[in-house]
Amino acid sequence: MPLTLDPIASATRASYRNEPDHSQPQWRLPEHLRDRIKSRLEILYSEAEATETFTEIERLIAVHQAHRTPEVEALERDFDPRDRFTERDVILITYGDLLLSKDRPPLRTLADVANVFFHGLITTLHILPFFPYSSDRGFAVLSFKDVDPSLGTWDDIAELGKSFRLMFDGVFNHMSSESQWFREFTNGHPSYKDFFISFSSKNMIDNDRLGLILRPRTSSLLSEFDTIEGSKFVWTTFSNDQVDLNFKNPRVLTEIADILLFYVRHCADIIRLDAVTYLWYELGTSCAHLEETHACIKLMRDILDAAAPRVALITETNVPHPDNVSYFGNGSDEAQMVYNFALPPLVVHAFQTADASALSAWAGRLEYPSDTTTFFNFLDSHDGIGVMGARGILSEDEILAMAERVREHGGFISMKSNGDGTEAPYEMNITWWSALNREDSGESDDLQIDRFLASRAIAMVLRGVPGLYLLGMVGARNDVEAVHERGSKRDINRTALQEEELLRLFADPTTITARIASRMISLLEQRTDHPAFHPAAPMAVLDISPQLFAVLRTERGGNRGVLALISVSSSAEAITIDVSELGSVYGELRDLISGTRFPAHGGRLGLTLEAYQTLWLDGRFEHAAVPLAANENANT
Amino acid sequence: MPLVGRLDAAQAPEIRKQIDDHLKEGRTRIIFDMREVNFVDSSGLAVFVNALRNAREAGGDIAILGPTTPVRSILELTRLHRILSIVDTQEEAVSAVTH
Repeated sequence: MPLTLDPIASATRASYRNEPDHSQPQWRLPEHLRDRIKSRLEILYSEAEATETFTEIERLIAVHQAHRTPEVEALERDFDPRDRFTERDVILITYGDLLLSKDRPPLRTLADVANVFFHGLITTLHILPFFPYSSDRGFAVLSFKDVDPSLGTWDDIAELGKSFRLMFDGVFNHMSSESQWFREFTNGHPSYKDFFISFSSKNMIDNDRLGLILRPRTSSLLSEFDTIEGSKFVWTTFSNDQVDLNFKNPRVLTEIADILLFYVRHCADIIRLDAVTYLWYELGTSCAHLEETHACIKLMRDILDAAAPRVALITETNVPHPDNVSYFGNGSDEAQMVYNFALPPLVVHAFQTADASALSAWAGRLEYPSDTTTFFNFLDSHDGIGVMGARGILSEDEILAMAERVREHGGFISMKSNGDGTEAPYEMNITWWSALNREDSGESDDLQIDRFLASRAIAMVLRGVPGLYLLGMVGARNDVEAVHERGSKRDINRTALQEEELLRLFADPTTITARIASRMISLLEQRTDHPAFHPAAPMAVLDISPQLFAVLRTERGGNRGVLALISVSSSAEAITIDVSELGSVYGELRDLISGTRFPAHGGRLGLTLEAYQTLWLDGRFEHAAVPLAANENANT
Repeated sequence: MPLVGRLDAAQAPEIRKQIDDHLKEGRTRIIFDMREVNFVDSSGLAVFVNALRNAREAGGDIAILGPTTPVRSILELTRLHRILSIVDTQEEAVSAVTH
């Protein structure tokens, strides 16, 4: 993407009024959306509750619409959901205070750094929960509509929104046990009576039913709290400070709808539904992926389709792949984007074993339900590397072996309850750099950097929108000390960077940090400037060698393409590819990264791929490829 | 404009003000003498980006004269060297802003 002086988001951002303008004619919900919203509510509630809830949702949307300015209306009117994401899109994941400086609040520091370092490379900033919180680094929210004053203000968020699209967290499954809502609940305020899921005794869920419930943690599902009515046992999927909201209470749903629209008016372009798998409970079931949960998400989508179709939902569900992709719905009625949870563990596995077969086979089977939905191809984030997505793709033995290697690399493994008294790995807590590279390996820096960059290149060529975690962008190492200090395994990959220290590392081109950053920028520049990397551009996964992850991406409606060859092995490998089978039009391909030209004599491309080398071979391809059989390739 | 030491969030507001003053008074061709600057942070870099935008809008231009090695590395990593004129001599700087 050419570097310009223009703010990236300027063409896609318009401000809402601070207060609703009710002098305008009242906005009416279109008939088809009325029917859709009513049908969702009928899945969730009794007829009377559904009718009442519909009226409130319609009111909330009308109030939101009264905040619109002509500029907002024009943007919404001209929006085509097929253009929501393009090859230019890259999402950077960061906490509001992952970058610190002496002189500015964290959100201001983030804005300054992002504006000069990520301009033209990153389109979207995912600022992890920036609300006041009591634990879990922001995911035990005290107040959904406030900005944590230690980070900055809503004005700072708006300032970031001038240059970047913004992804907000909708932490709607649960909230802090110290929140005002929960206080009102424990104080017996009638309006908050059923805001949370509570039982008068632990025994009200028998062991058979308890065993059925899908648990992402080993902690107790029910946590005891003193209330005005005596002791109550409250549903806490994640921790005793994170009390699950009760969506069976329609008032919870309408409060969340109000918050959703509030975020839209405060520059949210994408709303990440955190831990949304567990949104609805029904004793006697797994309490995960329930029809009612999907109905709630579809309802949020309907509300956004009515009020702000430019704003997308992304679901964060660390679950096996078939369950994960169920959140796409039918391709037009649920999340527009889904975290591709199988990708990170499969990439780790490929590099650990020098064998990309499982990754390639899975990638070759990926289905894309519509041209308005896509995957969020991330490798690392503020959480660990989830392993649930790989279940059913890798064997349990392979998952355990992967986890063991992560331990050997200085990481930790977080477990989940299986419901039968046993536990299994849930996520691997380790930085992406350390997952791939071992401190005491004796390998050269160059080899480790090549391995790291090769893994990044995989996420960038896979069909979807790539995501980068700020610490992953600079090759952060494990912070084991932080784990011991704070008692949270996830803190291994959450250590804030001092801007000055980071810039001093950047200023010395010989440091690993500067070398990684420089090559990452180069990859991103190529990635964001090639039409074959559009999220809707076709992808064919090629079976060339187990040591290679190979895909052909071709632009939509044209023949420009990229043949991506990425080695997951420490050995060089000589390969020959019959590029005529891929429809290669010209006899030469050019590597976008190095500029090297590779002649393909007689339709055959012969080359040696060095250890962990990445080649993005640009050329003209007449037709989308079919998977190739492995041919005369040999290790050297 | 000769700059010395650090160009960071503490210095940026004052430098911004000086630039605004120059532009208001019609001095739209600005050379930042960076030979004595050993550290620049993101707010310092933003000064250049804003100065470039504002100077060009006013019909002028800016040049960065003689950045030290660490500063030059940062300018290259941020790719700002592609839009800023970075020069080694006073003559080149004058030429860059009067092209």
